[in-house]
Amino acid sequence: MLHYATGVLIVVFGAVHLATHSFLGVEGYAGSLQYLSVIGRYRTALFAFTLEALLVTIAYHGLNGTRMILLEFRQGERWNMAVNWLLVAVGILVVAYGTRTVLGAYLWG
Amino acid sequence: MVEKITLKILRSIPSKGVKPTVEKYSVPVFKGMTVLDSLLYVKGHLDHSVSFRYSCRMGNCGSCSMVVNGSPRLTCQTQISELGTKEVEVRPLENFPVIRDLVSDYDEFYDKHREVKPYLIRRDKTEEEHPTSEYLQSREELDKYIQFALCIKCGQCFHACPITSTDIRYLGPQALSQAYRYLTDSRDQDNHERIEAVNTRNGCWGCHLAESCSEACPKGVDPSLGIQLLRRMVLGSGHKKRQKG
Amino acid sequence: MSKRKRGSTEPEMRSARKGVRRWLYYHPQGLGRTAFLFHRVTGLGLTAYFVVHVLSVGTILSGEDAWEMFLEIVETPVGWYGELLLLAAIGFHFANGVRLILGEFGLTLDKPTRPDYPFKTGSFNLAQKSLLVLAFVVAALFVLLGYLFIFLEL
Ligand code: SF4
Ligand code: FES
Repeated sequence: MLHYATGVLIVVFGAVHLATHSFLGVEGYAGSLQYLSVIGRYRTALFAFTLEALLVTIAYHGLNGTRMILLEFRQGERWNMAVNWLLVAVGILVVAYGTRTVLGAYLWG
Repeated sequence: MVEKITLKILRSIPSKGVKPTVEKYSVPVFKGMTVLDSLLYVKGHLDHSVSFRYSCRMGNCGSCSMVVNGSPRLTCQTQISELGTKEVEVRPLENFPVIRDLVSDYDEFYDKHREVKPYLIRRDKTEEEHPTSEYLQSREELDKYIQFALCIKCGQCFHACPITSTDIRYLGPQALSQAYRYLTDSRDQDNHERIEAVNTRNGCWGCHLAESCSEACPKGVDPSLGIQLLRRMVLGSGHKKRQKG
Repeated sequence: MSKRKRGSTEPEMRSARKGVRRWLYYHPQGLGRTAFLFHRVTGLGLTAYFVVHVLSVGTILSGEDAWEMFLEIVETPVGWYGELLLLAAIGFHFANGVRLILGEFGLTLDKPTRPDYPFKTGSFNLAQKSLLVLAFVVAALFVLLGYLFIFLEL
Protein backbone atom coordinates (compact mmCIF):
# COMPACT_ATOMS: atom_id res chain seq x y z
CA MET A 1 0.00 0.00 0.00
CA LEU A 2 2.82 2.38 0.84
CA HIS A 3 4.09 1.65 -2.64
CA TYR A 4 1.00 3.19 -4.22
CA ALA A 5 0.99 6.07 -1.77
CA THR A 6 4.62 6.95 -2.42
CA GLY A 7 3.96 6.60 -6.14
CA VAL A 8 1.33 9.31 -5.94
CA LEU A 9 3.47 11.49 -3.67
CA ILE A 10 6.40 11.29 -6.08
CA VAL A 11 4.20 12.65 -8.83
CA VAL A 12 3.35 15.67 -6.66
CA PHE A 13 6.85 16.35 -5.37
CA GLY A 14 8.41 15.53 -8.72
CA ALA A 15 6.23 18.12 -10.39
CA VAL A 16 7.26 20.75 -7.84
CA HIS A 17 10.88 19.71 -8.23
CA LEU A 18 10.83 20.09 -12.00
CA ALA A 19 8.87 23.31 -11.77
CA THR A 20 11.24 24.94 -9.30
CA HIS A 21 14.13 23.68 -11.35
CA SER A 22 12.79 25.30 -14.47
CA PHE A 23 11.14 28.46 -13.21
CA LEU A 24 13.02 29.59 -10.13
CA GLY A 25 16.20 29.94 -12.12
CA VAL A 26 15.00 32.28 -14.83
CA GLU A 27 18.26 31.96 -16.77
CA GLY A 28 17.10 29.08 -18.96
CA TYR A 29 18.46 25.56 -19.01
CA ALA A 30 22.20 26.20 -19.02
CA GLY A 31 21.87 29.08 -16.58
CA SER A 32 19.79 27.03 -14.21
CA LEU A 33 22.72 24.72 -13.65
CA GLN A 34 25.22 27.45 -12.67
CA TYR A 35 26.72 26.92 -9.25
CA LEU A 36 25.29 30.03 -7.68
CA SER A 37 21.89 29.48 -9.17
CA VAL A 38 21.75 25.93 -7.87
CA ILE A 39 23.00 26.85 -4.42
CA GLY A 40 20.53 29.71 -4.41
CA ARG A 41 17.71 27.28 -5.06
CA TYR A 42 18.87 24.97 -2.32
CA ARG A 43 18.49 27.90 0.07
CA THR A 44 14.76 28.21 -0.66
CA ALA A 45 12.82 26.30 1.95
CA LEU A 46 10.29 24.98 -0.59
CA PHE A 47 12.99 23.54 -2.81
CA ALA A 48 14.89 21.97 0.07
CA PHE A 49 11.75 20.45 1.52
CA THR A 50 10.67 19.01 -1.82
CA LEU A 51 14.11 17.57 -2.33
CA GLU A 52 14.11 15.83 1.00
CA ALA A 53 10.60 14.51 0.47
CA LEU A 54 11.49 13.28 -3.00
CA LEU A 55 14.58 11.63 -1.63
CA VAL A 56 12.68 9.57 0.89
CA THR A 57 9.71 8.71 -1.31
CA ILE A 58 11.74 7.75 -4.38
CA ALA A 59 14.14 5.73 -2.28
CA TYR A 60 11.23 3.80 -0.84
CA HIS A 61 9.29 3.41 -4.07
CA GLY A 62 12.30 2.51 -6.20
CA LEU A 63 13.90 0.10 -3.79
CA ASN A 64 10.60 -1.53 -2.91
CA GLY A 65 9.95 -2.04 -6.61
CA THR A 66 13.38 -3.58 -6.98
CA ARG A 67 12.64 -5.76 -3.99
CA MET A 68 9.40 -7.02 -5.53
CA ILE A 69 11.23 -8.01 -8.69
CA LEU A 70 14.10 -9.66 -6.84
CA LEU A 71 11.81 -11.62 -4.55
CA GLU A 72 10.08 -13.07 -7.60
CA PHE A 73 13.35 -14.50 -8.88
CA ARG A 74 14.01 -16.94 -6.11
CA GLN A 75 11.93 -18.24 -3.26
CA GLY A 76 13.12 -19.07 0.21
CA GLU A 77 13.58 -17.46 3.59
CA ARG A 78 17.30 -16.82 3.24
CA TRP A 79 16.96 -15.11 -0.10
CA ASN A 80 14.11 -12.95 1.24
CA MET A 81 16.14 -11.84 4.24
CA ALA A 82 19.22 -11.13 2.14
CA VAL A 83 17.28 -9.02 -0.35
CA ASN A 84 15.37 -7.16 2.34
CA TRP A 85 18.41 -6.23 4.40
CA LEU A 86 20.55 -5.36 1.42
CA LEU A 87 17.93 -2.96 0.07
CA VAL A 88 17.23 -1.45 3.49
CA ALA A 89 20.96 -0.79 3.84
CA VAL A 90 21.17 0.79 0.38
CA GLY A 91 18.10 2.89 1.17
CA ILE A 92 19.52 4.18 4.44
CA LEU A 93 22.86 5.01 2.83
CA VAL A 94 21.31 6.88 -0.09
CA VAL A 95 18.89 8.82 2.10
CA ALA A 96 21.66 9.70 4.56
CA TYR A 97 23.97 10.90 1.80
CA GLY A 98 21.20 12.86 0.13
CA THR A 99 20.14 14.46 3.40
CA ARG A 100 23.71 15.55 3.96
CA THR A 101 23.65 17.34 0.60
CA VAL A 102 20.30 18.98 1.16
CA LEU A 103 20.95 20.11 4.72
CA GLY A 104 24.52 21.11 3.96
CA ALA A 105 23.54 23.30 1.06
CA TYR A 106 20.48 24.70 2.82
CA LEU A 107 22.26 25.69 6.06
CA TRP A 108 25.81 26.49 5.07
CA GLY A 109 25.79 26.63 1.26
CA MET B 1 -5.18 -35.49 -53.65
CA VAL B 2 -5.65 -35.04 -49.95
CA GLU B 3 -4.15 -32.02 -48.37
CA LYS B 4 -1.38 -32.73 -45.88
CA ILE B 5 0.22 -30.80 -43.08
CA THR B 6 3.40 -31.38 -41.13
CA LEU B 7 2.72 -31.84 -37.46
CA LYS B 8 5.71 -31.02 -35.31
CA ILE B 9 5.54 -32.42 -31.81
CA LEU B 10 7.96 -31.57 -29.04
CA ARG B 11 8.64 -34.88 -27.32
CA SER B 12 10.48 -35.69 -24.11
CA ILE B 13 10.43 -38.02 -21.12
CA PRO B 14 12.14 -36.10 -18.29
CA SER B 15 11.96 -38.95 -15.77
CA LYS B 16 13.92 -41.21 -18.13
CA GLY B 17 16.29 -38.46 -19.17
CA VAL B 18 14.97 -38.28 -22.73
CA LYS B 19 15.76 -34.77 -23.88
CA PRO B 20 13.18 -32.65 -25.76
CA THR B 21 13.29 -33.27 -29.49
CA VAL B 22 10.95 -32.19 -32.25
CA GLU B 23 9.46 -34.99 -34.29
CA LYS B 24 7.68 -34.42 -37.57
CA TYR B 25 4.67 -36.30 -38.85
CA SER B 26 2.82 -35.88 -42.09
CA VAL B 27 -0.93 -35.83 -41.48
CA PRO B 28 -3.75 -35.69 -44.04
CA VAL B 29 -6.33 -33.03 -43.23
CA PHE B 30 -10.07 -33.26 -43.58
CA LYS B 31 -12.58 -30.49 -43.33
CA GLY B 32 -13.13 -29.36 -39.76
CA MET B 33 -10.15 -31.34 -38.42
CA THR B 34 -8.91 -30.09 -35.08
CA VAL B 35 -5.37 -30.18 -33.78
CA LEU B 36 -6.48 -32.89 -31.36
CA ASP B 37 -7.79 -34.95 -34.28
CA SER B 38 -4.43 -34.70 -35.98
CA LEU B 39 -2.70 -35.86 -32.78
CA LEU B 40 -5.12 -38.80 -32.62
CA TYR B 41 -4.32 -39.60 -36.25
CA VAL B 42 -0.63 -39.72 -35.39
CA LYS B 43 -1.31 -41.96 -32.43
CA GLY B 44 -3.57 -44.24 -34.45
CA HIS B 45 -1.59 -44.56 -37.68
CA LEU B 46 1.96 -43.33 -37.33
CA ASP B 47 3.38 -43.57 -33.83
CA HIS B 48 1.45 -44.96 -30.90
CA SER B 49 4.04 -43.77 -28.36
CA VAL B 50 3.06 -40.11 -28.68
CA SER B 51 1.43 -39.09 -25.40
CA PHE B 52 -1.11 -36.38 -24.81
CA ARG B 53 -4.09 -35.83 -22.60
CA TYR B 54 -7.70 -35.19 -23.56
CA SER B 55 -11.15 -36.26 -22.50
CA CYS B 56 -14.26 -34.35 -23.49
CA ARG B 57 -13.29 -33.19 -27.02
CA MET B 58 -15.75 -30.34 -26.69
CA GLY B 59 -13.92 -27.62 -24.81
CA ASN B 60 -15.43 -28.51 -21.50
CA CYS B 61 -12.72 -30.24 -19.49
CA GLY B 62 -9.54 -28.32 -20.20
CA SER B 63 -7.27 -31.36 -20.30
CA CYS B 64 -6.20 -30.90 -23.91
CA SER B 65 -4.43 -27.54 -23.35
CA MET B 66 -1.22 -27.30 -25.36
CA VAL B 67 0.83 -24.67 -27.05
CA VAL B 68 -0.10 -24.62 -30.72
CA ASN B 69 2.08 -22.54 -33.03
CA GLY B 70 3.31 -20.61 -30.01
CA SER B 71 -0.05 -19.74 -28.46
CA PRO B 72 -1.86 -21.60 -25.69
CA ARG B 73 -4.92 -23.36 -27.09
CA LEU B 74 -7.51 -25.98 -26.34
CA THR B 75 -6.48 -28.37 -29.09
CA CYS B 76 -9.97 -29.85 -29.37
CA GLN B 77 -11.36 -26.39 -30.12
CA THR B 78 -8.68 -25.33 -32.58
CA GLN B 79 -9.23 -26.25 -36.20
CA ILE B 80 -6.21 -26.71 -38.37
CA SER B 81 -7.78 -24.58 -41.09
CA GLU B 82 -8.08 -21.59 -38.75
CA LEU B 83 -4.34 -21.69 -38.08
CA GLY B 84 -3.69 -21.26 -41.78
CA THR B 85 -0.23 -22.80 -41.77
CA LYS B 86 1.19 -25.88 -43.49
CA GLU B 87 3.26 -26.67 -40.43
CA VAL B 88 1.62 -27.01 -37.05
CA GLU B 89 3.86 -27.06 -34.03
CA VAL B 90 2.57 -28.51 -30.76
CA ARG B 91 4.37 -28.12 -27.43
CA PRO B 92 3.35 -28.80 -23.83
CA LEU B 93 2.28 -25.84 -21.67
CA GLU B 94 5.04 -23.84 -20.04
CA ASN B 95 5.32 -23.24 -16.28
CA PHE B 96 4.25 -26.86 -15.77
CA PRO B 97 6.71 -29.74 -15.33
CA VAL B 98 6.42 -32.17 -18.24
CA ILE B 99 5.56 -35.79 -17.48
CA ARG B 100 5.90 -37.07 -21.01
CA ASP B 101 5.62 -35.49 -24.45
CA LEU B 102 2.60 -33.19 -24.36
CA VAL B 103 1.37 -34.27 -20.94
CA SER B 104 2.17 -31.78 -18.21
CA ASP B 105 2.00 -32.17 -14.46
CA TYR B 106 -0.91 -30.22 -12.95
CA ASP B 107 -0.24 -31.11 -9.30
CA GLU B 108 1.14 -27.73 -8.36
CA PHE B 109 -1.64 -25.97 -10.22
CA TYR B 110 -4.35 -27.96 -8.41
CA ASP B 111 -2.62 -27.54 -5.05
CA LYS B 112 -2.73 -23.80 -5.52
CA HIS B 113 -6.37 -24.05 -6.50
CA ARG B 114 -7.02 -26.00 -3.31
CA GLU B 115 -5.20 -23.42 -1.25
CA VAL B 116 -7.93 -20.81 -1.77
CA LYS B 117 -10.62 -23.20 -0.46
CA PRO B 118 -12.68 -23.49 -3.62
CA TYR B 119 -15.90 -24.66 -2.01
CA LEU B 120 -18.78 -23.10 -0.12
CA ILE B 121 -17.90 -22.44 3.47
CA ARG B 122 -20.82 -22.40 5.91
CA ARG B 123 -20.78 -21.10 9.43
CA ASP B 124 -22.33 -24.31 10.62
CA LYS B 125 -19.77 -27.06 9.93
CA THR B 126 -22.26 -29.92 10.19
CA GLU B 127 -24.40 -28.08 7.70
CA GLU B 128 -21.38 -27.74 5.43
CA GLU B 129 -20.85 -31.51 5.38
CA HIS B 130 -24.52 -32.47 5.26
CA PRO B 131 -26.57 -29.70 3.69
CA THR B 132 -30.18 -29.83 4.84
CA SER B 133 -31.71 -27.92 1.96
CA GLU B 134 -30.93 -26.20 -1.30
CA TYR B 135 -29.46 -22.73 -1.00
CA LEU B 136 -31.53 -20.47 -3.18
CA GLN B 137 -29.98 -17.70 -5.17
CA SER B 138 -31.38 -14.95 -7.35
CA ARG B 139 -30.27 -14.38 -10.90
CA GLU B 140 -28.51 -11.17 -9.91
CA GLU B 141 -26.54 -12.98 -7.26
CA LEU B 142 -25.52 -15.58 -9.81
CA ASP B 143 -24.48 -12.92 -12.32
CA LYS B 144 -21.90 -11.60 -9.88
CA TYR B 145 -19.65 -14.62 -10.18
CA ILE B 146 -20.88 -16.71 -13.10
CA GLN B 147 -18.10 -15.46 -15.34
CA PHE B 148 -15.43 -16.86 -13.02
CA ALA B 149 -17.37 -20.05 -12.42
CA LEU B 150 -16.90 -20.93 -16.08
CA CYS B 151 -13.23 -21.77 -15.43
CA ILE B 152 -12.37 -25.29 -16.58
CA LYS B 153 -8.93 -25.45 -14.91
CA CYS B 154 -7.19 -25.75 -18.22
CA GLY B 155 -4.07 -24.02 -16.95
CA GLN B 156 -3.61 -21.68 -19.87
CA CYS B 157 -3.60 -18.60 -17.68
CA PHE B 158 -0.94 -20.27 -15.54
CA HIS B 159 1.06 -20.83 -18.71
CA ALA B 160 0.68 -17.20 -19.75
CA CYS B 161 1.42 -15.40 -16.48
CA PRO B 162 4.81 -13.64 -16.41
CA ILE B 163 4.86 -13.63 -12.61
CA THR B 164 4.26 -17.36 -12.47
CA SER B 165 7.17 -17.92 -14.82
CA THR B 166 9.64 -16.65 -12.22
CA ASP B 167 7.87 -17.04 -8.88
CA ILE B 168 7.01 -20.60 -7.88
CA ARG B 169 5.04 -19.49 -4.83
CA TYR B 170 2.67 -17.13 -6.61
CA LEU B 171 -0.81 -18.62 -6.52
CA GLY B 172 -1.51 -17.75 -10.13
CA PRO B 173 -4.46 -16.26 -11.99
CA GLN B 174 -6.66 -19.31 -11.85
CA ALA B 175 -6.57 -19.82 -8.07
CA LEU B 176 -6.99 -16.13 -7.34
CA SER B 177 -9.94 -15.62 -9.64
CA GLN B 178 -11.53 -18.70 -8.08
CA ALA B 179 -11.03 -17.15 -4.66
CA TYR B 180 -13.01 -14.19 -5.92
CA ARG B 181 -15.63 -16.47 -7.41
CA TYR B 182 -16.34 -18.07 -4.02
CA LEU B 183 -16.05 -14.83 -2.07
CA THR B 184 -18.80 -13.23 -4.14
CA ASP B 185 -21.05 -16.25 -3.91
CA SER B 186 -24.05 -15.32 -1.76
CA ARG B 187 -24.19 -18.86 -0.33
CA ASP B 188 -20.69 -18.60 1.08
CA GLN B 189 -20.34 -17.54 4.72
CA ASP B 190 -17.52 -16.73 7.09
CA ASN B 191 -14.94 -16.28 4.42
CA HIS B 192 -12.11 -14.76 6.42
CA GLU B 193 -10.09 -17.97 6.03
CA ARG B 194 -10.13 -17.54 2.29
CA ILE B 195 -9.28 -13.87 2.50
CA GLU B 196 -6.38 -14.78 4.73
CA ALA B 197 -5.19 -17.31 2.16
CA VAL B 198 -5.01 -14.74 -0.62
CA ASN B 199 -4.03 -11.65 1.36
CA THR B 200 -0.29 -12.16 0.87
CA ARG B 201 2.52 -11.14 -1.43
CA ASN B 202 2.15 -14.47 -3.21
CA GLY B 203 -1.59 -14.06 -3.33
CA CYS B 204 -3.59 -11.24 -4.80
CA TRP B 205 -0.81 -8.68 -4.22
CA GLY B 206 1.57 -10.56 -6.49
CA CYS B 207 -0.33 -9.65 -9.65
CA HIS B 208 1.09 -6.82 -11.74
CA LEU B 209 -1.61 -6.53 -14.34
CA ALA B 210 0.12 -7.82 -17.45
CA GLU B 211 -3.22 -9.03 -18.84
CA SER B 212 -1.70 -12.16 -20.36
CA CYS B 213 -3.99 -14.50 -18.43
CA SER B 214 -7.14 -12.83 -19.67
CA GLU B 215 -5.84 -12.91 -23.21
CA ALA B 216 -5.07 -16.61 -22.94
CA CYS B 217 -8.25 -17.87 -21.30
CA PRO B 218 -10.30 -19.93 -23.77
CA LYS B 219 -13.51 -19.58 -21.73
CA GLY B 220 -13.69 -15.81 -21.37
CA VAL B 221 -13.15 -16.00 -17.63
CA ASP B 222 -10.96 -12.89 -17.46
CA PRO B 223 -8.94 -13.96 -14.40
CA SER B 224 -7.21 -10.60 -14.25
CA LEU B 225 -10.53 -8.86 -13.64
CA GLY B 226 -11.21 -11.32 -10.82
CA ILE B 227 -7.86 -10.58 -9.19
CA GLN B 228 -8.29 -6.81 -9.29
CA LEU B 229 -11.79 -7.07 -7.84
CA LEU B 230 -10.46 -9.50 -5.25
CA ARG B 231 -7.90 -6.93 -4.14
CA ARG B 232 -10.56 -4.34 -3.67
CA MET B 233 -12.58 -6.82 -1.65
CA VAL B 234 -9.62 -7.84 0.52
CA LEU B 235 -8.77 -4.21 1.13
CA GLY B 236 -12.37 -3.36 1.95
CA SER B 237 -12.62 -6.26 4.35
CA GLY B 238 -9.89 -4.70 6.47
CA HIS B 239 -8.63 -8.26 6.73
CA LYS B 240 -11.17 -8.87 9.42
CA LYS B 241 -13.69 -11.58 9.84
CA ARG B 242 -16.49 -10.86 7.42
CA GLN B 243 -20.10 -11.84 7.85
CA LYS B 244 -22.31 -12.49 4.90
CA GLY B 245 -25.99 -13.24 4.56
CA MET C 1 4.73 -49.82 -9.89
CA SER C 2 5.95 -46.96 -7.79
CA LYS C 3 3.32 -45.10 -5.90
CA ARG C 4 2.09 -41.92 -7.53
CA LYS C 5 3.39 -38.96 -5.58
CA ARG C 6 1.23 -36.02 -4.63
CA GLY C 7 2.28 -32.47 -5.41
CA SER C 8 5.26 -31.21 -7.36
CA THR C 9 8.56 -30.78 -5.59
CA GLU C 10 10.29 -27.44 -5.58
CA PRO C 11 13.10 -28.41 -7.99
CA GLU C 12 10.53 -29.78 -10.39
CA MET C 13 8.55 -26.56 -10.32
CA ARG C 14 11.71 -24.52 -10.68
CA SER C 15 12.93 -26.52 -13.65
CA ALA C 16 9.64 -25.94 -15.42
CA ARG C 17 9.97 -22.17 -15.14
CA LYS C 18 11.73 -20.26 -17.84
CA GLY C 19 12.07 -17.12 -15.74
CA VAL C 20 12.77 -13.66 -17.06
CA ARG C 21 13.11 -14.89 -20.62
CA ARG C 22 9.33 -15.07 -20.74
CA TRP C 23 8.98 -11.40 -19.86
CA LEU C 24 10.92 -10.60 -22.99
CA TYR C 25 9.54 -13.21 -25.29
CA TYR C 26 6.03 -14.50 -25.16
CA HIS C 27 3.47 -15.24 -27.80
CA PRO C 28 1.06 -13.55 -28.28
CA GLN C 29 2.81 -10.53 -26.82
CA GLY C 30 -0.14 -8.36 -25.90
CA LEU C 31 -0.19 -4.65 -25.23
CA GLY C 32 -0.68 -5.15 -21.50
CA ARG C 33 2.35 -7.38 -21.26
CA THR C 34 4.48 -4.90 -23.17
CA ALA C 35 3.43 -2.23 -20.71
CA PHE C 36 4.31 -4.57 -17.85
CA LEU C 37 7.79 -5.07 -19.27
CA PHE C 38 8.30 -1.35 -19.94
CA HIS C 39 7.10 -0.48 -16.47
CA ARG C 40 9.63 -2.81 -14.88
CA VAL C 41 12.53 -1.76 -17.08
CA THR C 42 11.86 1.96 -16.65
CA GLY C 43 11.35 1.42 -12.91
CA LEU C 44 14.69 -0.32 -12.49
CA GLY C 45 16.40 2.22 -14.72
CA LEU C 46 14.96 5.16 -12.82
CA THR C 47 15.98 3.67 -9.50
CA ALA C 48 19.53 3.23 -10.74
CA TYR C 49 19.52 6.78 -12.08
CA PHE C 50 18.16 8.07 -8.78
CA VAL C 51 21.00 6.53 -6.78
CA VAL C 52 23.65 7.85 -9.16
CA HIS C 53 21.97 11.26 -9.24
CA VAL C 54 21.88 11.56 -5.45
CA LEU C 55 25.50 10.55 -5.15
CA SER C 56 26.77 12.83 -7.91
CA VAL C 57 24.80 15.92 -6.97
CA GLY C 58 26.52 15.69 -3.59
CA THR C 59 29.57 17.26 -5.23
CA ILE C 60 27.91 20.64 -4.78
CA LEU C 61 29.00 20.60 -1.18
CA SER C 62 32.65 20.50 -2.21
CA GLY C 63 32.50 24.00 -3.66
CA GLU C 64 32.20 25.57 -7.08
CA ASP C 65 35.16 23.88 -8.76
CA ALA C 66 33.95 20.38 -8.03
CA TRP C 67 30.49 21.31 -9.31
CA GLU C 68 31.95 22.71 -12.53
CA MET C 69 33.86 19.50 -13.07
CA PHE C 70 30.69 17.51 -12.54
CA LEU C 71 28.85 19.70 -15.04
CA GLU C 72 31.58 19.14 -17.60
CA ILE C 73 30.89 15.44 -17.50
CA VAL C 74 27.12 15.73 -17.64
CA GLU C 75 26.62 18.72 -19.90
CA THR C 76 27.61 17.02 -23.11
CA PRO C 77 25.45 15.98 -26.06
CA VAL C 78 25.44 12.45 -24.68
CA GLY C 79 24.25 13.75 -21.34
CA TRP C 80 21.49 15.77 -23.00
CA TYR C 81 20.18 12.87 -25.00
CA GLY C 82 20.41 10.76 -21.88
CA GLU C 83 18.25 13.33 -20.20
CA LEU C 84 15.65 13.01 -22.94
CA LEU C 85 15.66 9.24 -22.45
CA LEU C 86 15.23 9.86 -18.74
CA LEU C 87 12.24 12.09 -19.43
CA ALA C 88 10.69 9.41 -21.62
CA ALA C 89 11.10 6.85 -18.86
CA ILE C 90 9.65 9.20 -16.26
CA GLY C 91 6.72 10.10 -18.48
CA PHE C 92 5.87 6.49 -19.20
CA HIS C 93 6.36 5.22 -15.68
CA PHE C 94 4.25 8.05 -14.32
CA ALA C 95 1.31 7.74 -16.71
CA ASN C 96 1.32 3.96 -16.77
CA GLY C 97 1.58 3.98 -12.98
CA VAL C 98 -1.63 5.99 -12.80
CA ARG C 99 -3.31 3.41 -15.02
CA LEU C 100 -2.05 0.57 -12.86
CA ILE C 101 -3.20 2.19 -9.62
CA LEU C 102 -6.68 2.68 -11.07
CA GLY C 103 -6.84 -0.81 -12.52
CA GLU C 104 -5.40 -2.64 -9.55
CA PHE C 105 -8.11 -1.29 -7.30
CA GLY C 106 -10.76 -2.41 -9.74
CA LEU C 107 -11.59 1.10 -10.91
CA THR C 108 -12.13 1.76 -14.63
CA LEU C 109 -12.73 -1.95 -15.15
CA ASP C 110 -15.88 -3.56 -16.50
CA LYS C 111 -18.30 -5.52 -14.34
CA PRO C 112 -18.20 -9.30 -14.59
CA THR C 113 -20.71 -10.54 -17.18
CA ARG C 114 -21.85 -13.72 -18.78
CA PRO C 115 -19.15 -14.05 -21.41
CA ASP C 116 -20.19 -14.66 -24.98
CA TYR C 117 -17.94 -15.57 -27.84
CA PRO C 118 -15.95 -13.61 -29.02
CA PHE C 119 -14.87 -12.83 -25.49
CA LYS C 120 -14.15 -9.33 -24.36
CA THR C 121 -11.64 -8.73 -21.62
CA GLY C 122 -13.33 -6.46 -19.13
CA SER C 123 -10.07 -5.96 -17.28
CA PHE C 124 -8.43 -4.55 -20.38
CA ASN C 125 -11.31 -2.54 -21.72
CA LEU C 126 -11.37 0.66 -23.69
CA ALA C 127 -10.65 2.78 -20.62
CA GLN C 128 -7.56 0.82 -19.68
CA LYS C 129 -6.35 0.62 -23.27
CA SER C 130 -6.71 4.34 -23.81
CA LEU C 131 -4.92 5.03 -20.55
CA LEU C 132 -2.08 2.84 -21.77
CA VAL C 133 -1.87 4.62 -25.09
CA LEU C 134 -1.98 7.86 -23.15
CA ALA C 135 1.08 6.69 -21.22
CA PHE C 136 3.06 6.51 -24.45
CA VAL C 137 1.73 9.90 -25.47
CA VAL C 138 2.77 11.41 -22.15
CA ALA C 139 6.25 9.91 -22.56
CA ALA C 140 6.51 11.51 -26.00
CA LEU C 141 5.24 14.80 -24.62
CA PHE C 142 7.83 14.81 -21.87
CA VAL C 143 10.57 14.25 -24.42
CA LEU C 144 9.23 17.08 -26.57
CA LEU C 145 9.11 19.51 -23.65
CA GLY C 146 12.56 18.43 -22.55
CA TYR C 147 13.83 18.96 -26.08
CA LEU C 148 12.38 22.44 -26.23
CA PHE C 149 13.82 23.27 -22.83
CA ILE C 150 17.28 21.79 -23.16
CA PHE C 151 18.14 22.33 -26.79
CA LEU C 152 16.19 25.43 -27.67
CA GLU C 153 16.50 27.04 -24.24
CA LEU C 154 12.87 28.06 -24.12
S1 SF4 D 1 -9.23 -19.09 -15.81
FE1 SF4 D 1 -9.44 -19.61 -17.99
S2 SF4 D 1 -7.32 -20.01 -18.65
FE2 SF4 D 1 -7.33 -20.11 -16.42
S3 SF4 D 1 -7.64 -22.26 -15.93
FE3 SF4 D 1 -9.66 -21.29 -15.92
S4 SF4 D 1 -10.46 -21.61 -17.97
FE4 SF4 D 1 -8.25 -22.00 -18.07
S1 FES E 1 -10.61 -32.38 -24.55
FE1 FES E 1 -11.82 -31.44 -22.99
S2 FES E 1 -11.40 -29.35 -23.40
FE2 FES E 1 -10.37 -30.28 -25.07
